[in-house]
Amino acid sequence: MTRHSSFSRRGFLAGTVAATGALAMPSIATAASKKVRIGFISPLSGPRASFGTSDQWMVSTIRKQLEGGLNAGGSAHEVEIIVKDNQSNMNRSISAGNELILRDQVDMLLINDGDAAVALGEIADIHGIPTMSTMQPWQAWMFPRGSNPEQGFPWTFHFFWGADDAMSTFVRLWDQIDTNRTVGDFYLDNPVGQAFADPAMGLPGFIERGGYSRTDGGMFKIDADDYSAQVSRFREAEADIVTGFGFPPHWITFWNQAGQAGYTPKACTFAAAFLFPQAIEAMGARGDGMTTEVWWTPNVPFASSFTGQNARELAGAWEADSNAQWVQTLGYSHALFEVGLNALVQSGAPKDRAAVRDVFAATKLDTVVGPVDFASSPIRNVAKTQLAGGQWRKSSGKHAFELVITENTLAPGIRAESETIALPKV
Amino acid sequence: MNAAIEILMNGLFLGGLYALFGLGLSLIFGVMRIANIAHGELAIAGALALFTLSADWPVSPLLLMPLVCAGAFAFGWLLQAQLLNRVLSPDPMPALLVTFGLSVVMQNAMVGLYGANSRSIDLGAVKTANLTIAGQTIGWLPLGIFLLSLALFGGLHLVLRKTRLGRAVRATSDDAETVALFAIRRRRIFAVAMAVSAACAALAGMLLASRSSITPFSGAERLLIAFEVIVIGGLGSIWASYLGGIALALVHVAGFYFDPASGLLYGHLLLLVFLLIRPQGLAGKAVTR
Repeated sequence: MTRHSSFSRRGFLAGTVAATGALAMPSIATAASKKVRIGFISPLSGPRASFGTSDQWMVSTIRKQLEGGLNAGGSAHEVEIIVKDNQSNMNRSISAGNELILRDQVDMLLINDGDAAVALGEIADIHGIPTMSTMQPWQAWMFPRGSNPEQGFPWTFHFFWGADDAMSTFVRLWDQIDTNRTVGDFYLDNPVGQAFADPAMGLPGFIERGGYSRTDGGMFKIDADDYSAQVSRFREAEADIVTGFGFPPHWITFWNQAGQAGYTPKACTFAAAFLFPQAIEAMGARGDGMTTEVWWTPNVPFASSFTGQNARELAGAWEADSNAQWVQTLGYSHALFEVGLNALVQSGAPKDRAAVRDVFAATKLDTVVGPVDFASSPIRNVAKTQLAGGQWRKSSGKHAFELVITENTLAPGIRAESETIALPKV
Repeated sequence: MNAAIEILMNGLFLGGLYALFGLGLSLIFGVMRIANIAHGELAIAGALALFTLSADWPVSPLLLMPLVCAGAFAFGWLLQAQLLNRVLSPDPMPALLVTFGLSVVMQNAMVGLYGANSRSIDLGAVKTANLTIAGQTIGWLPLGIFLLSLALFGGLHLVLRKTRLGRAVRATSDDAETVALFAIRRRRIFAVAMAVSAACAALAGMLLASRSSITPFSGAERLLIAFEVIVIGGLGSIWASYLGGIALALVHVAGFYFDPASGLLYGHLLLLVFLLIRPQGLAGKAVTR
């Protein structure tokens, strides 16, 4: 008994040719399509994940808005947003960026992470991809890449406030409180911490120029477990003010040990540690009164150029969908898309990279974080945004703590809601 | 002088916690001769479990700690009985790899469930309460952690020395093959050791989270501390872990005081010195086989 195999040599060849043709077709179609691709990189996981908390939500709302296409140059363009998680990791950022540039052939990169923007800057410049980034003081984006305010970069752009703005804001926050003008400062030993600790350009310089005396608490490593040395030094010097740079875990350990040692300063302004309400809640009642730099709150008088929502409506939409309190990154994450989409529209030819780049360089846009102005910025490729100072206050409302703006010298558009008050003696 | 007393005290207090991290690991290593790479994750999981419980039950987290320890005990038992006992062989590699895999799975599960935020257990007023003895301000919390770990070491010492179970554990640690001749089921002893180790880890994690704060990524750093504790202390007795913990913490605290930017450098140097001149550790017996 013989069986006829349905799998003959001739049949196989014919099938293979047909299949190859079918596979090749879509790629020809893609190359010719008008679909605009945006690559979006954000730390969705890893140690910096709190900076990317709102990004998945943000992308989905933007996608919804773009369902009917984006009108540019007289026709509607389909826009695809490709999201990559850089896992808060430098190497992962580079491979994610390479995938987006080489495989997905994106027309624009939007980067919501300082480290990733630094790591990918040169790659984007070499490949000629218009790139916009945010989430890190501009100095930490520009100087590690070996450039300066006069020189700039060919394809990469960044909008954020400057580290110097944060530091001068700190001093003005303390000026509002009656203290003995003695400051204790200590810093995490990483690139941003070293910038903050720089004797002339960093906080020590601002402290001394502001007429405060200083007790140096030194630098600490990221895995430090014990801050009794700093506590006893500051207590001995009777420092009424504690400042520096570090993440919430460092501050919380320090602050617990300060309480145990009976050390009660009147103001604590620790850069980067007090950005998120979760970090304040983790301190319990002793989180009340912490002072911080304020990038964005729902109370800023700005509105989105893309959706028309004002800051309060944007925060409300996030709170309703996520059941979590608004976060400062929400505004910047939205503004990044505003600036990116604005460039695609204004260019008239979203797939023309040089045209899009030229719009970036000439952007002057009122966003939900305030004016983003590259056109008249003295720093090439950088638009400085407004920065205020604020204080976390216990709230009887919906959330345990609310951020109240108390200092607005560098952000005249933002109303100061209250004066900074000394820490309660808990 | 004042500084010296302060360093000594803070070193002792931190050492109690370090010792607790080392204890669980050294127990496992002593009994089974495998290193549990997931030890740090077990600790962090304990702390996160306490967060979940205290969110639902409005009682002091202190009262919930024994409950979490009991849960960790059960988890450790199941882990050993159902998983690790299946891969035990004279070659330590399979078990080591399983615990390595477990640590990756646990870490990612915790990030997925709890997010990457840092958390701290809020013990309320206890957290910053202090007392003053001879001009020195001492926090109740670090003192309490120190005394608790001392009591726990004492308790475990008694169990190991005075009970039948403890004798079986020590015998298994000496020679697991021969013990089987005396009708002791060594797999059961292994399960007991893992259960106690997991409970110790969970307690250490909860105490760490009340002293400072944790993220799902903190496990790896803690594992390193635990390893250093048992290398410096040595194997062979639980008090070796205790000495190791205190020694490591004293060096850390003194390092933080005199050279804050050094981080854990001096602790690592101490480890290196011990490996070079006294590989059996402070209290360990020299191993000849």
